[in-house]
Amino acid sequence: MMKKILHLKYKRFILTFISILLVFLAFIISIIASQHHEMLEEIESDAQREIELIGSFAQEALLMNDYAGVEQFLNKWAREHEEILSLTATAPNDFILVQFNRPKEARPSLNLIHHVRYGGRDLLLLEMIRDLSPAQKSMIKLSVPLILSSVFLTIIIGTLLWYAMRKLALTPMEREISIREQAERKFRLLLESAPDALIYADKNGKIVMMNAQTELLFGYNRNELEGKDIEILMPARFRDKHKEFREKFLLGPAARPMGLHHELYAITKKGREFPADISLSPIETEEGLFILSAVRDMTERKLAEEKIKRSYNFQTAISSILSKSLSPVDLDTQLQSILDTILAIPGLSVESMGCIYLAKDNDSTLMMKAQRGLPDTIISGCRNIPFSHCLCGEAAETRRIIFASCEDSRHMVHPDYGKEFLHSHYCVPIVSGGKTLGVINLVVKKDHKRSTDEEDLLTSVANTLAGIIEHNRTDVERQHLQTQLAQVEKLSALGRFTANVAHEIRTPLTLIGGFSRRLDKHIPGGTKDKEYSEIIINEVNRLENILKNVLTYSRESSLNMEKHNLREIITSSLKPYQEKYRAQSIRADLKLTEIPDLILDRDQIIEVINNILSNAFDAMPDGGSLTLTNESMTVHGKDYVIVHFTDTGQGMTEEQIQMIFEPFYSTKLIGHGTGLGLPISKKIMEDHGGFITVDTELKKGSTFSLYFPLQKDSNPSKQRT
Amino acid sequence: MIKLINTISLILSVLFFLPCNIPASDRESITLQIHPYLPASELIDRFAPLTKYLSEKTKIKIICNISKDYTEHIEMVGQDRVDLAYMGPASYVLMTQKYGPKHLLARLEINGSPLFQGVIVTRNNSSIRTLKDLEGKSFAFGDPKSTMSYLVPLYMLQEAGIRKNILSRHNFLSSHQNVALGVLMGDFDAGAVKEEVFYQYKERGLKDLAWTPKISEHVFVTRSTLPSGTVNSLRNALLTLSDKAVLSSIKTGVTALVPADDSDYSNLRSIIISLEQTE
Repeated sequence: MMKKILHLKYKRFILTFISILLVFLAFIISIIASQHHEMLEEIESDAQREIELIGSFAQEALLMNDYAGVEQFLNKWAREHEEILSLTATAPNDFILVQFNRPKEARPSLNLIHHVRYGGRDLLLLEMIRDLSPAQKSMIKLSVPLILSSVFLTIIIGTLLWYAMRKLALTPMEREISIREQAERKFRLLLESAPDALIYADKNGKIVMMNAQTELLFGYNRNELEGKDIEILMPARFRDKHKEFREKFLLGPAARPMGLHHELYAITKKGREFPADISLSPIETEEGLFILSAVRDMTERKLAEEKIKRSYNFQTAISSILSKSLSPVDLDTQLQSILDTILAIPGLSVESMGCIYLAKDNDSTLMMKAQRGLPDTIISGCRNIPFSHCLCGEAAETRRIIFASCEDSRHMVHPDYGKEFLHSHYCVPIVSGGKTLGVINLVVKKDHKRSTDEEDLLTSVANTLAGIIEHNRTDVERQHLQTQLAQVEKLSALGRFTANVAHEIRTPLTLIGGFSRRLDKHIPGGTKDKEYSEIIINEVNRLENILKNVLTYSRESSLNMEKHNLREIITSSLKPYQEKYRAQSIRADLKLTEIPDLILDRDQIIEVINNILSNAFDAMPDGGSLTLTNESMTVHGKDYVIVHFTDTGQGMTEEQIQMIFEPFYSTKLIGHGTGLGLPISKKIMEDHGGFITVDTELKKGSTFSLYFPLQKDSNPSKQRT
Repeated sequence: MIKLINTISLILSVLFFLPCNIPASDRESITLQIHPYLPASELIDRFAPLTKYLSEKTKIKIICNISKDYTEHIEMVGQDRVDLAYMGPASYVLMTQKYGPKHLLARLEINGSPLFQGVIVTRNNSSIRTLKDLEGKSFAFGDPKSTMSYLVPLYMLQEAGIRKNILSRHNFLSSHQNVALGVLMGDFDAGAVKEEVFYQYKERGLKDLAWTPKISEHVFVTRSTLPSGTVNSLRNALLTLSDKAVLSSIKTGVTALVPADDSDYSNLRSIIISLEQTE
């Protein structure tokens, strides 16, 4: 029973009590030991006196030269005193006068030495070993009952005191403890059942108690937190400030939320920082003031709020974009305005930087249509980006949002954004009907965290933009179709009219030409008549040529498609021009590589080439160079053989480019072109299933590119266009 | 009345049975006086067996006494103040010179010889090799009346040319043992002891420097006035003593007590006379 109590109830108290009793016992034993020691000292003192007494006798006898008497006395003394184990008397000349040894081993023993002197002269050295064991035994005999009685007394006193203490103090204390334990259990239950993390700290900010929610939220176990400063649970930057706030709180403790008008943050053991809502409740106890803090993780709520806010911002932006799309301005202006709206979405961009690319028709290239805040190097360096090239090109090609830092290896163009301007990019493809219409490029903060939610919202913006672009393009297309229809109608009427006129004119013109050439034969050379006659013949030829072109462009023509070597066609077409080019200091640079045989109408293609060579000649009145190159390329899944004619001529303006494929548009002097060369060339190339493009820069030159479809193993045939 | 008669009768009957013929010898006691050549207690112990023997043998109670010194001993014996005495040879000679002859009873026989020697001793580690080396050294004598611790050695010193006055100092240490120990302890450079004492202390570092001439051993004498019957009885008892324990108790090596004659001490007497003449 006692053992049970000892183990369960008053362990510390009983140990203290036993310790006191043991100290008491030790005190008594130490007194006995002290007495013991004093007795031993007394014995030693007596022994010393004894040897001195012997010495005194020996001194007297030696002075009387009674050596034998000394010897006899000492031997007799040693023999008769049982406690003397050994007695030696040594003369100054080391002669041993007496040497008595008792054959007995005894411990402890006492060694004594005494010099017998007279008048400063050594007479004898006495050495005695006394047996202390009888004295020890007698002392032990005396001490044992004393110690036993002390132990007995200690036990009696201890037992009496224990029972008295138990009745007077422990039992009431036990009741008190039981009540307190119950209260504490209830308190703990309350603490543990709370949904929030509850932390119970003393006024010095030391954590005293916490609930399981605290362990769960902060990732610490109780042992790690108990006794630690409460500041361990907050980010380092707030800790010093919090100590000041804590001291202020203690001046007027009251239940209130913590950190009014401040964003509060807490930190977990693993270093995760999270927004927190904390309320404080002062609790006054007998042990002093304690503060109960309820901590709630606000991360989810904050995220939800941010999501709602962001969604709202995007919805507002989309609404604004839609509203702007209705304004009666051209697409580029609209795109600039829309870009500004996107960049104004809170928390998305950095310093309102970004741009919008649109994909060129029939060309996998992105062209920058609107930008804001980009450095000039970016504007020029990233104006045109082919699909798959760089991040924007990748977004266009893959039709997926790309998020990458400016240091991302996929970033092929690294123009200078300014010193240490670290950032990230969002490249959002504008997709409609499985086709990339363009890309929105946004510069965001370096540490911006991409999120599905944000990307969804950006996709919504891109889709809205896609709708606007499609709508705009449809409008443009419609306008273009209307124009084309008008053109077709015009051309159709013109064609019919021209055919009739040409038909009517061709016969008399043929007659004029025939007769003129006949008459010319009869006119002697070197005369004025001869000169006039030749003028008539030339003009008739020119008229016939014009007539032929008009008929070619306005009438349906049939193609005589056969397999030909394009390189041979180009080479032979260039020959007639070489003399002409040389005369005008134009260097023709033929850099054609092997071109597979193509199925085409040789005559028609020669006409196309002639048109381009002729235009190049005209474009370089002061000389220059014409470089012919070729390559193979897949455009929109179709393989083409491309021949580039690059001149270093005047180049063209944007307006000229828009018009060069229009019939009867010519930049040449009147009488030097019909304005049908390039429209006819375009028509011929389209009749062959290819197309013609021009890339020009004013004052630098132009490049005409002929795209021939690569037809594999197809039989040559005649076809109508 | 009857009570009185009874009491008287009882007293008379007790008196009747009391011994009425006690021998004279049983009633006498004689003293055995020993000269103090050893510590008194040792002498008492040594002579206790002999005293007992003589008492039993002679039926006379023997009381053993030790003289204070040699002089007193000589006086007591010479003046017949003691009945029986054990005397050293020199004491006997000196006593007879002064007080006349006494009854000689017996002398000691040591290992078959009634003669003994004295030894002038020094320490083993001493630089003294001959008697002549004793000049300027300290010397220990026993008693001025002692045969072997003074008289004979003094005679030998004189013969060797060492007179007392050329010694640095000399002292009388009463006993032979004191002389031996005084030399061993370094208090004296040399000393004179009898043969027996020399052998006793030889092992402890004593070295013999010179031996004395042989002198007749110690002797038992009686006062001149002692009845001849008692003298004869005592002489007879001594001469017939054969108990080794009693003999060796007197002195180690005593084999018997043999008859003694005054002429046995003539050589000693000559030495003493020589010394007296020298002084």
